[in-house]
Amino acid sequence: MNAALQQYIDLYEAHQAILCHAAPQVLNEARAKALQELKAHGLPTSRQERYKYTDVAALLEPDYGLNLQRLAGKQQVAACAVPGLKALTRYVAGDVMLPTSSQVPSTCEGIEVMSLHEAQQVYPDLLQQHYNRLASEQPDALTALNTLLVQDGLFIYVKRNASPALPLQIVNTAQTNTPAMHNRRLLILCEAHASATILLCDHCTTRSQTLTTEVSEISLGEGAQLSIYSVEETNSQCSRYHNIYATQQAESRLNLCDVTLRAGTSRTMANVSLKGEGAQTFMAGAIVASEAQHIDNNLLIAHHAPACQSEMLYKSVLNQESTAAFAGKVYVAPGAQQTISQQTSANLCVSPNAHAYTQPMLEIYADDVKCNHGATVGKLDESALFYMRQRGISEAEARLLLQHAFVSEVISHIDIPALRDRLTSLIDMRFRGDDDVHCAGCGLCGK
Amino acid sequence: MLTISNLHASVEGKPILQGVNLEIHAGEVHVLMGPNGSGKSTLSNVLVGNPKYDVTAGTVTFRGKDLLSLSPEDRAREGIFMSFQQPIEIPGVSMTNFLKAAINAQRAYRGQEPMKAAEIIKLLREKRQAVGLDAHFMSRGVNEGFSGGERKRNEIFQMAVLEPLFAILDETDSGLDVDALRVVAEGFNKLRTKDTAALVITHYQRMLDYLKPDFVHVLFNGRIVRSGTAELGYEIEDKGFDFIKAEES
Ligand SMILES: Nc1ncnc2c1ncn2[C@@H]1O[C@H](COP(=O)(O)OP(=O)(O)OP(=O)(O)O)[C@@H](O)[C@H]1O
Ligand SMILES: [Mg+2]
Repeated sequence: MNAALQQYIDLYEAHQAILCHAAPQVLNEARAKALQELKAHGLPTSRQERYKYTDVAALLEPDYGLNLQRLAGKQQVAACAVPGLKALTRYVAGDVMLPTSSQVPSTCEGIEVMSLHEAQQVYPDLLQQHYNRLASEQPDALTALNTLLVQDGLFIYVKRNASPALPLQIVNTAQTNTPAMHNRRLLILCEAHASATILLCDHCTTRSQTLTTEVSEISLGEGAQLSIYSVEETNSQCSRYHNIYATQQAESRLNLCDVTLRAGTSRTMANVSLKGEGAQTFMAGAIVASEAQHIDNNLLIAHHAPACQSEMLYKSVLNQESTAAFAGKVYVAPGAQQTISQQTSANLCVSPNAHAYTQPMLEIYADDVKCNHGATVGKLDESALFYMRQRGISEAEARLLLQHAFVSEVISHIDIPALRDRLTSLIDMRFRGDDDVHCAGCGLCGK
Repeated sequence: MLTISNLHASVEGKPILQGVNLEIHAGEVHVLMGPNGSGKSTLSNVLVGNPKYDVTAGTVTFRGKDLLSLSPEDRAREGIFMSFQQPIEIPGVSMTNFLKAAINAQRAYRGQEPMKAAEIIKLLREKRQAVGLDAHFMSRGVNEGFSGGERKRNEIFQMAVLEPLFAILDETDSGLDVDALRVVAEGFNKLRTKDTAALVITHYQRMLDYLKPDFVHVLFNGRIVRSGTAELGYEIEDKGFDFIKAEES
C-alpha cells in the first residue's frame, strides 16, 4: 500500500464514526466498497493509461486536514459576480454548502438545488437510485477516495420539461490557513426535455495548500439540454481532481466547457456515455498556464447508440514550465452507425520549457462513421507578431493578443454573452500577470 | 523626411539589397518599380524593421532619427506605415480590438490620452465607409477569411485610421478589381498632405494614372538603377524591363 494513500485510509478508519455521523445515509452506504477497492488496487501509477500524465501519489502526499465536523465556521465566500448575468446563486465553502434564504423565483420553476443531506430527506429514492451509480461502473482510485471521504454534496434536479429562465451558479470558495482537503460531490439529474445551464466557479482566497476531489454524476433524459460551464480561478497552491460521469438518452445535448486559469494542478477526467440515438456532446476546454502549473484532461466519450455526435475542443496556452496534457478518446460501439465525432487539441507553447502532450484516440467498432481528430503543438506566429508591431503595438502586447486569441475560440462557444465577456476579461487579467492570490474580480480584495 | 544611404540587406544569408540610395521629402509620392525578385519588398520590410531581414551596411534616417536603431513598433509610432504585399490572417484578434490596441499604443507614444471606446468606434466607422468595408469585417479576426482584394482594402483602411506620415504601399493595387482600385487610390490620395510622403510599389500604369507620382525609380538587382518622373513609369509599361536589364548587364 502506497504511503500517500495509507494516510487517508488511516484517517478514515480512525474517524469513521464522526465522518459518517455528519453524512447522509446513502453516502455512508457506498464507503465500504470504495475502501475495498482502494485497498485492493491502491493508487494509480503513471503506467496506467489514464494516469500517464499526472502523478497522483505525489499530489496526495501532503498531510491535508479534513473538515470532519462539518463546521461552516466564519467562511467568507467569493461574491463572484458576473456583470450583467442574473443567476440563481448558491455558495459552497470548502465542501460545505451554505444555507440560503433566497427562494427560487417563479421563472425558475422546475429546478431544485439542495445538499445531499436535504436530498436524503426530500428525494430519498432518487438519491438511492442515482448516487454513486455512474461513478462506480468502472473503478477509479480518485472516485473511490472521494466516495470514501465525502460527507455531503449538491443535488441539482431539473424536472421533466422544466426550463429555468436563469442559469444556476455554484460558487465554490476554499478558505483555509492550514493544508485542507475538500471532497465535493455533484449529482445532477436533468429529466426528459428539461433544459438548464449551470455555472461552476472555483475560488480560493488563501495561500495554504488545498486538495479538492470532486465527483460529478450527470444524467440527461431524452431531449434534455444541459450546459455546464466551469471556471477555475484558484491559485498555484490548489490541486484539483474532477471526475465527471455523464450518461445521455436520445436526442439529449450536453455542453461541458472548462476554463482553467490558475490551479497548480488540475486534472479532469470525464466519461460520457451516449446511450440514446441522436444524443450530442460538446466538451471544450480553455487552458492558460504558467510557472509549474499542470493541467490534465483525460476524456472518454463512448458512442453506444447510432446517430450521435460528439466534439472535443481543447486549447491551451502554456508559458514558462507549465504542462498541459490532453488524452481524448472516442469509442464507437458496434452498431453505433452514423456516428460523427471530432477531436481537436491545439496547444501553444509560448516558452521553450512548456510541455504539451496530446493524444487523441479512436476505438471504432462500426463502419458507417465520420471520426476526425487533430492535434497541434505550436509556437506564436512570428509574422502575425510582426504585422501587429508594424501597426505600433508593442511586442509584449502583440504576444498577449495572440495568446488570448488562441483560447478565445473556446470561449466563443459559450452561449451566455455576459459570461463570455466576463471570461474574456478574466483571461485578459490572467495574461497580464495580475497576482494569483485573489480570484480576479471576486470583490473580496476590494479591487 | 527619409534618407536611405548605401543600404545593404540580406535574407537568410542571401544578399538582396546592394547599396540603395533614396531621398524622399515631405509632400512627395515616389513610385518604385522593378522586376519580380529585384528587392522591392525587401526594401519595404527593412524600412519597417522586419526581423527576418538583416541590414548589413548603410543608414536610414527618418525625420532626423536613426531609423534602423528603432524597434518595429517605434518606427510605426514615429509614423511609418506599410501596406503589406501579402497581409496575413490573425484569427481570433478582432479588427476592432486590433486597431484599438494600435491607436492607443501610438497615442501613448506621443503622450496622448487613450482614445475613448465610443470615439474609436466612430473613427472606424467613418474610415471603413470611406474604403467600402462592411461593418461585419470589424468583428472578424484581422484578415480572417478576407478575400485577397478585401485584405488590400483593409490595409488602406488601417492606413486611413492610423494616419501615418510616411506610407509604404507594397503592391496594394495587385489583386484589386477596377472599382476597388479606384476606391483605394482615391482613399490614398485623400490622405496626401504637404507633411506626408509615400513610397508606392506597383507594376501597373493604372496606379501611375491615379497617383500622379512625383518620382519613379527602378530597382534592379538590389540597386536603384533609374530615377525619373512618371514618364519613366509609362516607358516601362510600354517596353518592359528588358531594356534596363540589357543596359545593366
Ligand atoms: N524570407 C525569404 N527567404 C528567402 N528568400 C527571400 C525571402 N524574402 C525574399 N527573398 C528573396 O529575396 C529576393 C527579393 O525578394 P523581394 O520580395 O524583395 O522581391 P520583390 O521585388 O518585392 O518582387 P515582387 O515583384 O515579386 O514582389 C527574391 O529572390 C526572394 O526570393
Ligand atoms: Mg514584392
